[in-house]
Amino acid sequence: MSKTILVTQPSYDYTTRYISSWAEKVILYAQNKNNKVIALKNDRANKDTLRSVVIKTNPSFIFFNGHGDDNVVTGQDSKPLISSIDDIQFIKNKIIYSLSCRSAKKLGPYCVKNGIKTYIGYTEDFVFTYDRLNRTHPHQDKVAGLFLDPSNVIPFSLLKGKTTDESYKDSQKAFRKSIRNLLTSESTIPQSSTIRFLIWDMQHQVCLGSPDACI
Amino acid sequence: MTDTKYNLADLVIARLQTLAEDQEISIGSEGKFSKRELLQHVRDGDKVGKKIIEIELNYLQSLKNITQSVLNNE
Repeated sequence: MSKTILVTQPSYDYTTRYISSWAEKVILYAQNKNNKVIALKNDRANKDTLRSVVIKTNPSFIFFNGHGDDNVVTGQDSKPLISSIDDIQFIKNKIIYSLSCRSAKKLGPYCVKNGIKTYIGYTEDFVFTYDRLNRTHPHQDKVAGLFLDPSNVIPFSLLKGKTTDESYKDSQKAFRKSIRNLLTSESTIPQSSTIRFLIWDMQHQVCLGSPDACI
Repeated sequence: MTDTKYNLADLVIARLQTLAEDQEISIGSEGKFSKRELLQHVRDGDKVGKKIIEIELNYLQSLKNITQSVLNNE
């Protein structure tokens, strides 16, 4: 069955450029499976547009990409999209994945308390490394892929019809696979030095709310 | 900083030497950092430096369990 999903893609620094570029892989996959995708890119990743588009299109899944902190997820130019002091009724009953820092610490529980089905995110800073020589082609950066591929497993698994808990577990497994590949392959010392950050991200990724929700 | 904190920073600095020169590290809203910048933050003992020390300690503390888990394909 066709699903409607919404993806925010701010782009104004290397971090947002990278994560929004990798979100493109999710968008292409979703579109190839005949799902409807609404992408709020650059300046369209703002609070007013988010609210009006969600009310108009009623997506079952929202994939936030951007900076954040304990209480907020931001859009373009670090302007808040949703926060724990906002009325968030317009995203009630949605499934949310926030690829942003620390938002699962306070905003996530606030969302679940206010009717969001499931909030998947990170309770600490999401840290990733990338190859400076690949900065102009972020989607081709294999170093960044060690982090952003496991992150993308969440939306991929949800789009395959898996539950939120299954999708979370798939992502955890993908993180472990990245770590295992670095531990067991003939990776160079600089590549294996990223393990500390992969472990950090994996350990701070959480799935809050309903484990059985599907998009 | 106390002696213990100095020693901890020294340990982390030594361990961070394995980071690639051409890699940058994105730490959320704190920004992006080269290896050289990261080492300086640890030396300065500022917010970013403390975060890096926290990540390194977390890594060392969980290394045994994580390594065992991933090698067992769990």
